[in-house]
Amino acid sequence: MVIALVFSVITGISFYKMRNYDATFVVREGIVEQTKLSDYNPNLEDTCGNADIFTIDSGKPGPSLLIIGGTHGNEPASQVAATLFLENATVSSGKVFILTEANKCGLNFSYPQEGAPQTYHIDTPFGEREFVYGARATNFVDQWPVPEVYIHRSGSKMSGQESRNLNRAYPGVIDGNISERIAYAITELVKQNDITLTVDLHEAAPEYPVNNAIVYHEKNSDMIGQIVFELEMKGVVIKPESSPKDFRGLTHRELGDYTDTRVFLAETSNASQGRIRGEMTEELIVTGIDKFYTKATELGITYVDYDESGVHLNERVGRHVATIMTIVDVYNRMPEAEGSLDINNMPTYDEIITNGIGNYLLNPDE
Amino acid sequence: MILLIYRVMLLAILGLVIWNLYDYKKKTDRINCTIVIIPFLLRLLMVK
Amino acid sequence: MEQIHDVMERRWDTKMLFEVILLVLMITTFLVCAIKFKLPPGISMMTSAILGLIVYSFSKPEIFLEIPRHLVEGSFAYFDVILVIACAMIYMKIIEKAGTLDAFSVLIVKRFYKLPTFMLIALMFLIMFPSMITGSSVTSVITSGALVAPILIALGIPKTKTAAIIGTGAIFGMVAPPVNVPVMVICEIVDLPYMGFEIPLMILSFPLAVFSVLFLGRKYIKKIKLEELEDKINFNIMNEVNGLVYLPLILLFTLLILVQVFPFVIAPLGMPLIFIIAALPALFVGKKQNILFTCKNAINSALPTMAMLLGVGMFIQAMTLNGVRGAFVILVLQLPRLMQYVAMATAVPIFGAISAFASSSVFGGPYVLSFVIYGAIPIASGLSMLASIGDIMPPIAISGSTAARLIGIKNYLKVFKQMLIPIGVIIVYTMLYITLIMPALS
Repeated sequence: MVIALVFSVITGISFYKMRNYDATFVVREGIVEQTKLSDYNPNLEDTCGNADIFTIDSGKPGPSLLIIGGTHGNEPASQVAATLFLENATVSSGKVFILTEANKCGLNFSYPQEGAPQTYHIDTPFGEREFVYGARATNFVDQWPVPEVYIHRSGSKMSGQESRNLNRAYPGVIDGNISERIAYAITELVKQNDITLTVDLHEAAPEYPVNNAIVYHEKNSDMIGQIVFELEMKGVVIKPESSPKDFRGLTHRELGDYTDTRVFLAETSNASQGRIRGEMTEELIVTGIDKFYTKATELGITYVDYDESGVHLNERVGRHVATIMTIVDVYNRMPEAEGSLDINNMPTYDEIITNGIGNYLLNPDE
Repeated sequence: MILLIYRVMLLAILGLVIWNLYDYKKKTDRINCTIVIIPFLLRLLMVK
Repeated sequence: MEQIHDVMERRWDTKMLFEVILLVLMITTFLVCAIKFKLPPGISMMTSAILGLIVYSFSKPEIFLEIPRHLVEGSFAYFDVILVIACAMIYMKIIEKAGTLDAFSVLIVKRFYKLPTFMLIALMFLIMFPSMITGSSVTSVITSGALVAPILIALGIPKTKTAAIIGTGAIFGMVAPPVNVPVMVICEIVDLPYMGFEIPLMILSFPLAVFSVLFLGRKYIKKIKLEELEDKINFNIMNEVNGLVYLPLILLFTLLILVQVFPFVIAPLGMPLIFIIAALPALFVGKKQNILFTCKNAINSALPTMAMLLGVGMFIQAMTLNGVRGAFVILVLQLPRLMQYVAMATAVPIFGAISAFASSSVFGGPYVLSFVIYGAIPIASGLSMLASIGDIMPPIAISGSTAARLIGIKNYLKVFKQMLIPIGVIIVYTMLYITLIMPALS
């Protein structure tokens, strides 16, 4: 009994600290405004899911963009790319909404059987900056018990654990479980602000088929060809994938169906969430270097090539940033666009790869 | 509401495990109990 | 010189020497603890995990202080399953004491003793039912397995074969539709909706279930005479209790069916609560009992299984952290093409012995990808069957050993021996199913 208590206390402190970890993002005064998801779903008040919504408003009318980062806590490029926009972008026409912690309840614990570190660090000119490495799903503590089978409102069946996955919960339920409530708030955010473009950022295991890809709702078919072409011109080869109609609960399906926004979902390759990877370390999360994935590439069982130099977070974040900027560019030239959305001061893909993401992150202590 | 019911269930099972712990003579049985108590306690307190 | 260099390059395996050493170390530790020192599997798994992490921390010292966190975190992987097991065991012990089990045996035997083949098959499907609904094989063993075991034994089927029937039935239930968690896990990895699996899974699991139960039990129950059974089945139970004694059973099966019919209303209750609700009537109908002691005994019976699953969770956490999981998968996947079929038929069940869910999540992606010519649905279904065999594979054999313990057999290997032929048939049939049967049907 004493042993049990001692172990519970030691590990409990570690779990408790992570659960109450408050990530700091730099909010530039006069440029960025802050609201909360609970403004769109009051049922999120006083819950872990009440994340910040950052807005950069030019004050001039024009199209708007929502960047969803941090849906899955174990997909770091998603959160870091959103943070890059938050801490660098200026907008001279139109409006940008940014979520860096879309599912905050997935960023406050580590998933069992992943052996993941609780944080990872990115080199910057002012030293190392700490980010949380969370989990794909909402914390058990915040959403429990979990049913054996999760049935999406559409009737689609998934394993019960998927009920804790924000990207299976759209369009959401106002008073549903915490993941559904967050999804509801994000859907309302899109609806109430009549957001023109939505880009949901993700990463995938190298053996996952949808990789280095952009998934689009069918109503964006008129844009996708141009987006893929222009990205390729920038050195970013990306696979276009149409959103499957019977795969329910995801942003690219439900936000497309339930709102007027033009929604895209971007994937990059992340070895640290793969199942064939070797030891799980902070370096793996950042560098993407893994000897087993190099071997798996030789065996032809990965969708993204891994060699000794890995797939670095710089490259993954660079892809996401370039993808978003290209989507905006292409949209601005569409006949339907009323005015244009002008985002400035963002580094290009090449600049991010050459200088590293650390150079574009601000110091939270200042 | 459901969460509350589940926490009561956890408390009850935890109680039964501890009751068994004090009845067990064999060391291995006691270690088994210890392994089981830790996650039940942490979940009951909603820490993990 | 160049040739030597070439050979060195090709001997890629040396690059993962450390992981292979760790793999061997972890497996040896487990076997030594379990066989030499006769420690329970949960403790053996935990010891192996601790050692695997300590040795790993020689190369990564910062991990050392994190070891307790990783062990406890890993153990949470099966927390929900453990809770189901605890509650299912409480339910079973309560209805056993109330007399429901005895009454049920009498009912089945009296009704069906003239149709032994039909009865056996029907009992097999009864065994499968709870895991068809919950997706976890152990639920079947503890609930309907416990219900059916006394009947099978009374009919003259040897105890080892009875345990084998229950153990295999539980894994067929796990594979059978509507809920097949390993397939759901694979679907998530390869981006496939869990749709259109019902019929393929029936084609896979039902024939094997019928074969297994007839193979293991048919020859013992050629003709049944009620009089001979009198000392084995308590026919007088109906004098002590009335028809209401079936209420907990009826309630349980009704709730399980309602989960499918009204998923939004009933499913959020969760299996643990469903078992507790279904047990409540037993407090008022049937024989009187001291409920506290019954519950305590139930937890006493469930504790080894619970501790074992927690140990498995720690073990997998350790092998995921130190790279052993990756090494194991790559070792298997780099075999030549033809060997891949053999590897799939063996490695998936062997890894499944640690955990069927983990096995399907680790191998699901690569194998669906390499064998995609056979179609994603058959290959995912087949993989789920192969991974589920793990649940009756020693040394862990979660559902097999639970079945053995339930019947009072100490040495699980005796039960496993009875299962060897059915397991062979399962593997061969599954491979044929993937490569021939399903392609022919479509």
